[in-house]
Amino acid sequence: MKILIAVIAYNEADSIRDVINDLQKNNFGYDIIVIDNSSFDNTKQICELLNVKVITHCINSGIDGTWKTFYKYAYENGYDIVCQFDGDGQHLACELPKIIEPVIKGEADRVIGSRFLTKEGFQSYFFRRIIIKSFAFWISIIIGYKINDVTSGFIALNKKIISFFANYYKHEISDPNVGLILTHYIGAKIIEVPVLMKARKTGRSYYGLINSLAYPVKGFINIVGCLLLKKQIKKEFGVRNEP
Amino acid sequence: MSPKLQIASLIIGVAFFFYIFYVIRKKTLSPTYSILWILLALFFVSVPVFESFYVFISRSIFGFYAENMIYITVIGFLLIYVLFLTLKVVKLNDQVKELISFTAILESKLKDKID
Repeated sequence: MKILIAVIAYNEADSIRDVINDLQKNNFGYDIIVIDNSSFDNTKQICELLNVKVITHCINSGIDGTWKTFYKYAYENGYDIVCQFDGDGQHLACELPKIIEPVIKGEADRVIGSRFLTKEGFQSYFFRRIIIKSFAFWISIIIGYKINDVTSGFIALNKKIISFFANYYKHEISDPNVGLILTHYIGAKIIEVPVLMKARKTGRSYYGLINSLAYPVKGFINIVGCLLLKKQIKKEFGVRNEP
Repeated sequence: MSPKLQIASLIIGVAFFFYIFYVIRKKTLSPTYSILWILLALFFVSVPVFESFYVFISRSIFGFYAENMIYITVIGFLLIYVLFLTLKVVKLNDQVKELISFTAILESKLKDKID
C-alpha cells in the first residue's frame, strides 16, 4: 500500500527540521512530501537539505490551496492512504500508526487523531476548546454519531476521499467541518482514535485572534453550505444508507 | 417627478453611456461585462424621456412615487451586479488555486526528471 504523509508548511523554518527528522526517524515505509505555501523564510531550503520532496506554490493560495495540491498530488500518484501532518511540530510521527492502521484494515475511510479521547498531551486553549466542543456537538448531530475532536488536522484518509476532494469538491476543503460532513455524505466511515499532540513550538498559528473570532461564523456558514449539498452528493455518489 | 431629478438622470445616463463606450474602445472592458451597465445607462436616459410612463407604472402598480421606483431599480440592479461579480470572483479564485496546484506539481515532476 502506498502511503503519503503530507506536511503542510508556511514559514515553519524554526520547526520544520524537527518535524522532518521525527518523520524520517519513525518511517515505516511511507513517502513524505512538504507542501510549501510560498514561505518567505527558508522552509523549502531546509526540507531540500533533509532530502525531502517539496512542492512549492509560486504564490500563497491560502490553506485551501495547499489542501488542493495535497489531494491532487496524492490522487495523481496513486496513493492509497494520505495523512496530513502539521509543519509546526504539534503532531508526532510515532502516533501515525494509530491513525493509519484502521484505514489499512478497512475499518474506516477517515480516521481522526483525537486529543480529547484520553485527555493526555496538549488539549488546546480554553477559548478554542469551547469552539471545538460546540462544533463537535452540531457535527455529531448531523452525521449521527459522536465525534469529539472535529478540528483535528491529524487525519488519515483513503482513496475514496482523496478522489472526492481532488476531483469533485473544491470550496473550503481545509475546513474540517466540511471534510467531515461531506465525507459522511459520500458514504465514508469516520472513526476517532486517541493520540498525543504537543503544543506549537514556534511561529504563529493561522487561528490568531481575528481568525479565531471569525472561525465560528465561517464554520457555521460552511456547515449550512454542506447541508444544502446533501441531496446532490448522495445522489451523485449513489449513497442510499447512512454508514 | 421634479425637473432637477430628470435633468440629473439624463446627465448621469449620457455620461455613463459615453464612459462605457470609451472603456470598450480602449479594450479595458469587455462587451459582455458592459451589457448590464449599458442597461443601467439606458434606464437613466429613459427616465426624463418616458417620465409619464414611469409615474403611471409606479403609482398604479407599486403605489408609490416615481422617485422611489428609480432608487429601488438602481439598488436592485447594483445587488444583481454585485452577485454576478461575486460569482465571477469565486470562479476565478477556484481557477487560480487549480493553476497554482497544477504548476507546483508540474514543477516538482520536472525537477524529479532533471535530477
